[in-house]
Formats: sequence, structure tokens, C-alpha cells
Amino acid sequence: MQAETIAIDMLSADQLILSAQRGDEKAFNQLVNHWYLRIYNYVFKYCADEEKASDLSQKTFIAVFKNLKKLKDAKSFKPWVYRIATNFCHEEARRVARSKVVTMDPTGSEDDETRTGFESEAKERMFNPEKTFQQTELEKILFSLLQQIPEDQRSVILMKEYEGFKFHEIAEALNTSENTVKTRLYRGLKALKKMLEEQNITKETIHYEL
Amino acid sequence: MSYKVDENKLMAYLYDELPADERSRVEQYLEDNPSARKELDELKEARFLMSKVSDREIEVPRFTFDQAEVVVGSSPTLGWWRYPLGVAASIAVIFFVGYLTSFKLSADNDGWGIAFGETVTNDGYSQDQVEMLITQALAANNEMISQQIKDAESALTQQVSSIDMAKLDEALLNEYMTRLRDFNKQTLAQMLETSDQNQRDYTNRALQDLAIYLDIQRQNDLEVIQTQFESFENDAEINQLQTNQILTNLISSVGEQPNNQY
Repeated sequence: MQAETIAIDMLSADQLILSAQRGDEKAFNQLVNHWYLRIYNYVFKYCADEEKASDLSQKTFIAVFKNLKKLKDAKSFKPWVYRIATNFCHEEARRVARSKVVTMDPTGSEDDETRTGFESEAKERMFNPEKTFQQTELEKILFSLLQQIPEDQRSVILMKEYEGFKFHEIAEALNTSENTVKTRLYRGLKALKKMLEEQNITKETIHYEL
Repeated sequence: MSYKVDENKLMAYLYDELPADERSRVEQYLEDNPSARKELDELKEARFLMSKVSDREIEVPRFTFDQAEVVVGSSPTLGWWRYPLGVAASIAVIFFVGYLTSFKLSADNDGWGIAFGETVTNDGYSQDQVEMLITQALAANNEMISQQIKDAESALTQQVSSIDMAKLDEALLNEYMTRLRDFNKQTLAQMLETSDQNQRDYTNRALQDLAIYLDIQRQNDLEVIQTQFESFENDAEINQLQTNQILTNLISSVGEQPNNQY
């Protein structure tokens, strides 16, 4: 048993994927162990909701398991998993936006397409201490700012800034060109910088915040 | 000076994904263009600030599979066709309920109508009749309201006159006030007296209790002393007896032969 576990540990990532593709449950769980926290944190930053992050991460890995056989190249595993997660996040954001429109919430900002119910929900949550425990004030603000940038820019920023993607990997994950990725990143960072300035958050001021 | 750094190149430079020669060209460009350098610094600052978002630590769930079927207790979903299916089901339900309740929709020259079960036609009132009814109802209503206003007026007049009378009778008011003051004074005096009495009673009781307590205490102390004395007496008696015995032994042993043991 011990030897088996060690043997699996020693397998390279690609071999692990191949084993999982053949239906090896242990290998699949090794993959989950390796990627789950990353996906969870990616999704959490995307939607700023712990419950949804758990839910969407689990959905992602269920989809990974179901479709793993279709993955041609083990090298593409990382962009592929993030693509699945991003699709789930996008689907959820659309679902929330739709349900918000149905309730005809007068406080919602339907005038701006990018600021859907998803974001306004996240804004509300900012002021809910139970849901944001262990979060510093600064983190709370940064989370809400992330929710305010359009989804296509948000996913690029998250992948580049927090998940250590290369530009070509993001392009692969989002099925677009590298130049588009760079443009989205540029715009996203610009928007963030502007919002940070509006909130008076700079290198100098955060030392007081923390 | 035709070299230009666009936003794509700037991004690649910011994230260190440029080949070495390209990078040095961008660096040169940034040196020559303070505005581009400023922009880059701003983006760097945004990156620095956003790096303050930390990761969450959570427990990784374990996935188990039953013949490639799902996992982690999630419910199966219907997929993309769930919305068309939902719409179809709703329409079916509407038709079915319509059938059960004999729902009818009709339209003719008089307008349109909705009916459940047998259709009942009702010609209703003509316009003149309706107008007459409205006029009657309005007249009755007006009459009632004016009557109510009259009643309220008379009641108000009565009240006003009674208030005026009370105002005029100042002497009565003064008398009332004096009486009230007297009564208050009396009550206050009574209260003070009662309170004083209560306090005195309480003090007396407390003193009595204290006296009784001290008495009992004294009694107890005396008893203790007596017991002590008695025990002293006993001890003394026992000592006396022992001494006598020892003396007797000594005397008898001295009187007998010296090798005799007592």
C-alpha cells in the first residue's frame, strides 16, 4: 500500500493524467489533490463566494473526470481544466444575472452589462462579516474590485496574476489569440489601477490599511 | 525612432515574456519615453496591490466513482435541453388544466370573454342605467356625509362651550388646585411618617436580634469555658491518681528487697 502510493507520487504529471484517462481512480485523486486548491482559488477570486467556489470546483472536476478521455495531449491538461472552470464560472454569472433581471431589482445596475447581479451580490457580501471572516479590509476591497471588471478581462488577470500562466497557455485556455489575451490583460490592469486610485489605495496607503 | 511599444509588447515586457533582444529595445524605448515608463510603473503598482489577495486553504474533497457515474453526491443535471423541456412541460400542464376546467376563450362584437365550464352570457346594464345607479349612489353618499359633518359640528360646539365655562370659573380651578396641593401634602406627610415608623421598627428588631445573638454567644462561650474547666479537673484528678499509684509503687519497692522488680 505504502509502496503503491510512493510509486504513484513518483509518476510524472503526464503519466498521472494517462493513468487517470485509463480510469485509475487513485491517479485521478492524485490529480485532484494537485489541482483542486488552485482551481478553487481561481473560482473563488472569480465569483467571491465560498459556497459557489466549492460547488463550481467540484463540478469542474466531475466534468474533468467525464471528459478526460477526450483530452488528446496530456500537456494541455492545465489550460483545459481552467477552461472548464472558467466556463462554469461564466455560466453561473449568467444564471445569477438572469435571475436578477427577473426580480427587477431596482438597486441592480442593469444599465451596465458587465456589472451583472453576480458582482452586485459580491458587493453586498463585502459588508457581511460572517461570509468574509479572516479577510483583511484590503482584501475585501480587492475582491470587490475584481468582481467589477468584465469577465473576459477578469479571467485573464486571474490566470496571469495568480495562476502563473504563460500568455500562450491563457490563449489556449480561452480559445483565443495571444494578442487578444494581452489586450484584455492591459485593459483589466488599467481598470484595476483606476479603481484602486478611486479607492485611494496605493503602495503608500496600504501600510496603514494593514 | 520608428520603434513603438504597443500595449501587447508592454504586457509581454511587464510579465517578462520577451526575448532578450526585444526586451532591451523596450527598455531603451522606456528610457526615451517617460510617459510610457510612468504607465508601466502604474501597471506594476496595480500588480503589486493585487498581489495582496491571498489564497484560501480548504480541504480537498475525495472523488469516488461508480462505473464512471458521478461523484461527491452531486445531483444529475438535465443538460442543455432542460429549458425547452421545461417550456414544453408548462404548455402541457396549461392545456391539461384548461381541459379539466373547460376553459373557454371567446370573442364577438360585444368584446371578448373568459369562461370556465358553461358559458353564461350576461347582457348587463345599459349605459343609462349605470349612470342612474351611480347618480343615486352619489346622492346617498353625499347625504350621509353632510349628516356626519352636521353631527360632528354640533358635538364640537358643545365641547367648546363647556371648555369656555371651565375657563371662566377661575375660582373653582383655584379651589381645585388648593385641594390638590393639600392632598399631596397630606399624602407626603403620611408617607414620611410610615417610612419613619418602618425604619424604627426595623432598627428595633435588628437591635433585639443582636441582643439575642450576643446572649446566645455569651452562653456558648461560658459553656465552652466550663467544659474546659471540667476537663482540667478531670486531668488533675487523673494526674493525682497516677502520682499516688507511682508513689505507692515506689514506697512498696523501697520497703522490699532491692532485687525485686516492681
